[in-house]
Order: sequence, then structure tokens, then C-alpha cells
Amino acid sequence: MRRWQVVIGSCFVLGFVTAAIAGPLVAPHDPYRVDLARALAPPSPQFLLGTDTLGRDIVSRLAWGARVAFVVSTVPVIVALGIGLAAGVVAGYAGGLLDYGIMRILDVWLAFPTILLALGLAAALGPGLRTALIAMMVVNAPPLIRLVRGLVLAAKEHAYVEAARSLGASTPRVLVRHMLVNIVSPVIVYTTLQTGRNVILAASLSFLGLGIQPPAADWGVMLSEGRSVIALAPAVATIPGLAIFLVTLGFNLVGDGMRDILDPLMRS
Amino acid sequence: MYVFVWRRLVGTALVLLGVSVVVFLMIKLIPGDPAATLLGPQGTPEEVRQLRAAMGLDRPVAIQYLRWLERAVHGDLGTSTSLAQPVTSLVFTSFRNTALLGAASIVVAILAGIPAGILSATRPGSVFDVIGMLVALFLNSMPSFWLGLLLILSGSVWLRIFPVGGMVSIRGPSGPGDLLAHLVLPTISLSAWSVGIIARISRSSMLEVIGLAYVRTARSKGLAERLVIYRHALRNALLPVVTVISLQAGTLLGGAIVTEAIFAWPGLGLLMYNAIGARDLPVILGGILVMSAVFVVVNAIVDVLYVVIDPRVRLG
Repeated sequence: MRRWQVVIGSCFVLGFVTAAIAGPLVAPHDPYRVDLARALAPPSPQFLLGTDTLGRDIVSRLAWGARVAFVVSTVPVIVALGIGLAAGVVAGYAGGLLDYGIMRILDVWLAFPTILLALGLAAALGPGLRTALIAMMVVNAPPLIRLVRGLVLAAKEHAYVEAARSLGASTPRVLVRHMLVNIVSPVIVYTTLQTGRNVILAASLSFLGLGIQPPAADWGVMLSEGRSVIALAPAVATIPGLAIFLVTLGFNLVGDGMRDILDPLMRS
Repeated sequence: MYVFVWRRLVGTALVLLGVSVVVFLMIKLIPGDPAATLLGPQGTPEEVRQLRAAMGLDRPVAIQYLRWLERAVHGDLGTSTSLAQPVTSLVFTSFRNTALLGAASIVVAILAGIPAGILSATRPGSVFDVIGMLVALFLNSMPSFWLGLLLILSGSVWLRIFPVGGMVSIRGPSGPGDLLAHLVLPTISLSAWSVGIIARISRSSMLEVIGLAYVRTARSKGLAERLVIYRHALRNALLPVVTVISLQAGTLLGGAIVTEAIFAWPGLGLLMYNAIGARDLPVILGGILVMSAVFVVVNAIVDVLYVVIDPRVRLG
């Protein structure tokens, strides 16, 4: 069951990555070409999913949107992972006042509902792709710092760390060669799940008008633009939403399945 | 016990103070000089300097923060730039409607999520379990704005059972029935994510408790399975679920912005959504401050309630 879950989820994720890389190359039309004469055209051999309110090809916009979604979902979480590993290891391993200080700052950071923190930053900095990336990094980092710190604190007590240290290993060596490899699996699982959540978060910011701006070929923007014609041409808004759902589902299937496979307690 | 409660209260006050610092820093992040913006292109440098002094912008940031905090505590969060009304009254009048939608959603999330999780856990591997958990995972992968649109499409446009949006009908019958009809779709949309997460946590928590020695003891002394599950296991299994439920307050408050925007539900979320469109920063930041404060306070209350429901916290 778990293995199938990971396999199916991986197919979705792989499809997403392929679309992000190859989509714009094979897109049949220019995603920005406006032609009001063919607005809201139904699906046809020329426009497989029809056209949107401005007569732009939906398939082409979806394909370009995949690349945007890939960037906004992965870049923030990768940067946050770097910050999380650095700050989390320092806090967990050093302990004391430094740890206390970092944890109290995190208390405040985590007191904000995620979307609100991202929204406030995006509103203050002005909308756009750069702002969306910054806002998402800021909300991605704190949970990762807390996760890594907790894992390091637990790992510190293990005999293998004591053994490595008594063999004369330096602190960086203990951290990287011994501890990091042991805490890496929960971190990978968390990062996978967060990437899926980021697809939704980025689309939410676009939808609210704070992320990527029209006329960009972004799934959130497409959905927001299609809202006004939902009764007339439901596909315009619902298809980008379906894309967001499938990508997030893919990451959730992989992350969830991996968690159960990697957790020895669940393996029985 | 009192020490724990006292400590939690002090901690909450400090976090609230921290939240206010972050919101203040967001105001400071806004590019441009507020005084120059206010005066417009006609303002001479001398006038800008005078206004800056009058607004206290020439003072150190720490002093500016304290003054801002003093005003905020006295209920002055500034004036809306798009609606020309005090932010505080706008936020508080609309918050009532958000609280109604949020309360309805949390009730639905609990009533749907916990039974689904418990039933799945008591029949692991069954058709019910597999389908239930798949649905839960689907709910946790759906963007709420998409689900909202699908609900409008199916419930309002095609089936014509529910109103498309708003809170009361302009024409036709009004009253509790009408309010309820308007409440159904936004509540489903807002609670979906929470239903999924509560179901999944209930299931894993129940599975863990069923494996514990005291449950085996209850079974081996010949108790009926129903009694074992609902009298013995359920109480302990629900403890982690309570924490997750209290965290849903944040999800629901944040999610309200998107959901209220889609269903035109006249709450704090819709107020903030319109403020985003109008670049009305006092309303946006005031809304964030109030929502985050509510979230912190709700979590503190649940933490203190924990002392009542779990004796181990009280004694340990």
C-alpha cells in the first residue's frame, strides 16, 4: 500500500517536473497572445482545452505555469532548508542562551497563521514574484529550524555520538558525518510535504493579488482570472485548480508514504 | 498547576508583544516616506520635514514602536485609506461574521474528522479505512479557492440549491434558514482541510493507543470491544487531537480570507481581501494583528484546558 502510494505520487511529481522543464518548449501557442475574437473558445484540435477570457490558449498557459509553480514551490523550501539546517543544528547542538534566544524568536514567528505572515510581508513589500519568494522563505524556515533542532537534541543523547566524540572526532565531523545522516530522513519527508503546500500557498498569494501579477502564466493568476466566467466557461478557472491539486497530491502521497516507510516503528 | 497556568499566561503575553513587534516592522518595511506620500508631489521638503516631526517619524524606531503600541492598545489602529473609517471599528464589526463561519467550520471539522479517524483506526486495512484516508489526503491537497469554485459550480450554478455568495438574501425570505443556506458552502470549503488533518491525526493516535499495554489489559479481562475502544482508548487517543484542533484556529482564520473572498462572506477576511485590492495597508496589517492575536489566545486557552483534561500535565 505504502509503496504504491509513493510510486503513484512520484509519477505525479515527475510529470510536474517534466512539465516545468519541457512544457514551455512544446507549448503549442504563445501563452501571452491576446485575441479577443476567439475568447472563451471551446476545446478544439487547435486549442485542446479551449481559450481563456482574453483568447489565450489554456494548454500553453498551463505549461508555462508549471515552470512558475515549480520555481515558487521549490526555491523557498530549498533556501529554508539551508537556514533550517544551519540554525537548527546550532541551536540544538550549542544549547544554552543561543538556543533559548532562537527558540523565543521562533515562538513569535510561529504564532502567526502561515498565510497571514506571507500576506503581511507581501502587502508591505509590494506584490510580485520576488516578494512571493521572500514571503514564502520567511514562512518556510521556522518550522524547519524547530524540526532540525528537535532532531539534533534527540540525536545528541545517542551512544553513537558519544562514541564518535570519544574517538576524537571534531565537532563539525560529528555533526556532518554522524548526526546529519541520522536526522536526514524526517527532514526530507517534511521538505517534500512542504513543497506541495508551497504550490497552494504561492497560488493563494497570486489569487489574492499579492503574488505573481497578471498577465503572467501562473496557475493562481489563471484561476483568479477565470473566476468571473465560472458559470459561462467553468474550465478556465477549474483546470488550473486541478493542476494545483494533482501536484500537491503527488507531493503529499510521496511524503506521507516515505514517512511510513522510513519510520521503523511503522514498518511492521 | 497554578505555576503552569501562570507561566503559560506570561508566555502568551510575551508572544503577543512579539507579534506586535513583527506587525510594526511590517509597517516599517513599506517602501517610501509616509509623510512624503501623504503630502503628495506638492509637498515641499520643509513641509515633509514638519509632518515627519508631527508624526513622530524623526524619533528612534523603538520610540515609534512604543507610541504605535500605546495607540494600538487603546484601540487605535489607524484609519482605512480606502474606506476613510477607523480600522478598529471596521475590523471588529466584520470579525463577528468571521467568528460565525469559523465556529461552524470547526464544529463540522470535529464532527466529521474524529469519527472518520476512529472508525478507520478500529478497522485498519478495511475498505472504509483505505477510502477514508484517501479522501482525507485529497482534502489536504485541495486549494480552498478551487474547492470553493467547484462548490459554487455544483451547488449554486448547476443544482441551484445554495446561494452563490453573501450572507443574507436581498430579496426573498430572510431569517435563520436563509443564513444557514448561505453558510453551507463556505463552511464546507473552509473546513475541508481541517477535516482531513483531524481525521488523519485521530486515526494514527488511536492506532498508537490501541497498541498500548493498558488496552491489552482491558481486552484480556474480557471487556467488550466497544467498551475497550470508547471507554478506555478514546480518551487518551483524543489528547493529540485536541492540540491539532486548537491549531486549526490559525488555518481557519488564514483560510477565511480566501474563502470569504470567493463566497463574498462579509467578514474580516473579505475586508482584508478588498483592502489588498485597494492597497489599504492599515486595514491589512490591523487585520493580521487581530487575527494573529486571536490565534495566540485560542492556543493559550487550549493549553490551559489541557491541565484539566490530562492529569499528567498537572502532576508531571
